[in-house]
Amino acid sequence: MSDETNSNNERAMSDDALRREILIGRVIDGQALPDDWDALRALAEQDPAVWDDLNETQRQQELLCAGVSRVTAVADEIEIDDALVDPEPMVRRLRLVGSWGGWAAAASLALLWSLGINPLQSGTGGQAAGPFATLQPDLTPDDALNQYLDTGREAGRVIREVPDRVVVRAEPLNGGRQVEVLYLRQILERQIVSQVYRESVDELGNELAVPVRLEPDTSGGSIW
Amino acid sequence: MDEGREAAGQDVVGAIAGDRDALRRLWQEHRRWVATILIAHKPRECEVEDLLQAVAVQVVRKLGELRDPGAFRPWLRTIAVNAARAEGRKITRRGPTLRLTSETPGAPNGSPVDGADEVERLMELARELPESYREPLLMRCARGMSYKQIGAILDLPETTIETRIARGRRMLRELAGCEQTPAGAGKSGKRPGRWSVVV
Repeated sequence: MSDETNSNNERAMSDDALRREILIGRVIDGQALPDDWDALRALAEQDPAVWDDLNETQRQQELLCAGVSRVTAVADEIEIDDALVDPEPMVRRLRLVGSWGGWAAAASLALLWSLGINPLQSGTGGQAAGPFATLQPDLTPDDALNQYLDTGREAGRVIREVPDRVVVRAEPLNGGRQVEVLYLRQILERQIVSQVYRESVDELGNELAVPVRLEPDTSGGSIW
Repeated sequence: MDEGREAAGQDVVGAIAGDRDALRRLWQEHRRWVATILIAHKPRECEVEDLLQAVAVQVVRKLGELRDPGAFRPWLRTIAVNAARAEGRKITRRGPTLRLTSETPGAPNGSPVDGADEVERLMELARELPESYREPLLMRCARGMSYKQIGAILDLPETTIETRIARGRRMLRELAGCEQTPAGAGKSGKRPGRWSVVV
């Protein structure tokens, strides 16, 4: 609903109607004074529906508060300390991803290269298993992923999982009773490296990695 | 000013000066209502948790620029609103995305409306209220913030807050009344069980 519509609604509500709603609100919010109660009773003598409105508004307020409390409970888990740990590089990192777009795939290869693994050779199995090294065999896939995320966060490797899943394909199954959805889950990780490289090809068609120099960001802009 | 608010004011000054303990206390005191602001302004498909983290980053980056410690709450609200709106713009630019709405297989469509469903339904209806009503109404639910506290954050007189909340409640009541169907199913009867595609 737009604020223009809102403005029309405001005009449509008479002073008496507004007064009635304010009195109901004061009762619900525990702000009603004796005079307010007297005024509300007087209104109810003329229109007993006032009590129904009071009852319904009270009920909705309790439901709304329950909803807000439920959704905002997550706030208690968000500590400022995560942002205190050098937030600037995180912002810069995200900005790089956002501005270089399609370059990200090459960047991921180059990252491996800089860690001592040649991305241009197949079968790069030299990396340690990382957080998955201690996985228990009886974990469900979701449990395993959660363990990876938790362990990764503790190790400083995992920053967060991107909440949106990107749909690749959605197809009905079993005559439309079910839907098979293929989607991507994205996890933002961090690694500290000494050098990054851009994947390129020389004049003879040979793949090669070109060192990339990243200048400190001085724009002062923000991705947010 | 009571002792708690005075201490909070000192924390603002301390946090601006770089005192991390003061900043932690300040964040812990305010994060719940910041989350409420985010609910009032965020796109439907965006998580409060993610936005709150974005707000935390901005607070750390920009608090040192705050010149008037007394303006901390409106300043923090502005950061939250901007974070929510920025996310809205990003979502507009992105293609279709899928959101996991429940980890467990959902109930069949048209199942009876229970208490949790009704809370969800009312939260959805609240999203349809005009922003100027929705925000104070939801803030009133954030641990019972007073009209005065809400007014201080929104930079509006107490009487205006009271009026907006009263109007918002009436509109919500009317919306809920319009939504009732003879079968009593409402929107929840149409809600998919497990997945919903958010475009």
